[in-house]
Amino acid sequence: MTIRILGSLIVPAMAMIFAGYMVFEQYSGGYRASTRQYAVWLGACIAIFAVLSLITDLRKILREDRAGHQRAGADLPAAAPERRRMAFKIGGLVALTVVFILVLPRAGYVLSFFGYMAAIMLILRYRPIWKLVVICVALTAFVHFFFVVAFSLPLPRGSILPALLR
Amino acid sequence: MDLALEGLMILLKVAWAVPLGIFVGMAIGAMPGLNSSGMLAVLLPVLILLPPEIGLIFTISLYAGGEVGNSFPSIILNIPGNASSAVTAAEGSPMMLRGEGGRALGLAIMASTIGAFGAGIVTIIATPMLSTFALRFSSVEICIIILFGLTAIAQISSGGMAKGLLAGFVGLLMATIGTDPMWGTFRGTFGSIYLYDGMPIVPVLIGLLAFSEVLRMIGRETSGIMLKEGVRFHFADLFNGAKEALRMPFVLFRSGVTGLIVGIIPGAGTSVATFLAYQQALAAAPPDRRALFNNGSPEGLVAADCANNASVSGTLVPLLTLGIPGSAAAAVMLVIMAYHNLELGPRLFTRNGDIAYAVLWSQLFAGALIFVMGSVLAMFAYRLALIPVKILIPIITMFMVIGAFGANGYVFDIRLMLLFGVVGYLMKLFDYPVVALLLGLILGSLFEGHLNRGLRMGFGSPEIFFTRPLAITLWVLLALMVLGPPLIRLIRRRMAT
Repeated sequence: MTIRILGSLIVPAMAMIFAGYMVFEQYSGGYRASTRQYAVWLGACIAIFAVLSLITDLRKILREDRAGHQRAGADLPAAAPERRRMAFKIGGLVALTVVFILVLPRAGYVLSFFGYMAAIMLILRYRPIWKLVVICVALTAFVHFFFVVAFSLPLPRGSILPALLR
Repeated sequence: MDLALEGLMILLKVAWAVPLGIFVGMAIGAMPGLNSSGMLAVLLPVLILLPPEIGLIFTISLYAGGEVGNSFPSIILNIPGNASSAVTAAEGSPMMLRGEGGRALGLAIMASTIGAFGAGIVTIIATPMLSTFALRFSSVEICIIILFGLTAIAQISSGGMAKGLLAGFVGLLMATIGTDPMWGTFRGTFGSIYLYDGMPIVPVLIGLLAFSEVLRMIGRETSGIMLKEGVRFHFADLFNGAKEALRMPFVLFRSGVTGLIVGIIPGAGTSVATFLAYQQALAAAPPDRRALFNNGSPEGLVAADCANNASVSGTLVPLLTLGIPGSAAAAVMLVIMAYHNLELGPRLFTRNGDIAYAVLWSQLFAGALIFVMGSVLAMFAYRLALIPVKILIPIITMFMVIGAFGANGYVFDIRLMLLFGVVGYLMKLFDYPVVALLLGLILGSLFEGHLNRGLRMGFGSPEIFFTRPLAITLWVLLALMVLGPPLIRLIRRRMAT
């Protein structure tokens, strides 16, 4: 139950922190009163609805806990090993995307897309490896010919591949 | 009348541009993570080189096709391509899970066809009169129209009204990031130059709607669809869905009119039209049908898709008569018109009326084609549900990254997509409506701009919002829409006891 209570705090807390930052920034930045007023009104509404949402969630958790029910419509599996596996996959995709974003301007879209998609399929435990490589090459080629060549999308070319090809 | 006939002759000479535009729009819209409006910006250098009638007809046909195409991944994968197709996802995806995907696609395609065709007829007949109607809407009235859209958020939120309003107001506050429309100062940019123009909508949309859904898919190791064993696409299901849509004439008429009128109002957008029509369908539904809303309601699906495509024709009215673009596609068309030295504004119908009417006729033609082309493409789009998740996820992720990058050409936008993907995932996990956040963001900048202009019209006093006759009418309609259904339920309950 503690985890569920803490979980229900996440979104309202994020909303309040964001609203607090925006209001503080506009007060400390010396903005005009009319601009500040709009932000303050919105911030106040966010605070009220955040508290109301939290109360609604807490009441629901307490009610379900007393009745001994599982949370309806839960996306979280009940068993801990499954939750860990799920967290690994989700965290893995997020981490891969961060790496992809960092690598893209330097390595270029060809190497980055190939590596990104291959890594995602490896996390998802796609086998056999040769099929994985073929699919990733095909998808990268699709990106190149459809988006870069046909639609002239200016994806970063990076410096590694041009240096290798010289 | 002569101009209308000349316009028809021009269309007949370049009629190929309509099915080609619809096909390209549908194909792009059907790719999860891609957005046809975003692709228009990429295609602009090609479009302006074409003769003006071809460029304009192709653009609006692509836009119309894209609105239909967006329905496919919305229904099949629960990955909407834009805010207006989020309603399609909310209603169509549960139907897909029940094994009624063909029916949902048939409902959506037929509703889009009726919306496009019906609005096309009205715009051809009444465009000059409709432009006069559009001019009566000042910033004051547009503010109230936007409130219509925002109140719809609260009403359809499954997690409760407080959560819907929280998400909506956070979206409104996010819309203040960027340049102050009144004083030109930077607000909440976190020191990043990429936010000086405000929060870019496309990467945020892709993150909130698509990337968050991919995170859910990857966590559940399912395609999110959980297709029933042996369920395959049958044309019979699609046609039955289409026939079912035709048996809802009141829903179609009301949504079509709403979509057309909101589309005519400059700056209101297809999102407002869709949510407004959806809200009306919810309010008008009998109690036993209301429970299905947000859980696979045919009426909700039909209302949203009909209004969606009707608003496409509606956006042509302010563009062609006043030179005011009401959508991304209309903005691209304005650039094409300016490039070819077409008369922008009220004189277009005097100097280049034949081209203007050709564009209007093209929507009628598009409406006739949408059903046929949509049905064929739906058959291929349905196969998305059959692709193994381990291959589908990288493909969708690739499209999402390209869609986020393609909007402005910044790697920063991919970072935003990732951030809002995580935010969207957390919101979905704890039953907060991501569409509310998105709608608040899209409408927020419009709302603040029009609010400021309205206050200036009233010399700083908010009284003007309550004294203009059209504004009063809109307030009354808004109150009826919000308070009407609960009051009717209360009266019915009292009468029953």
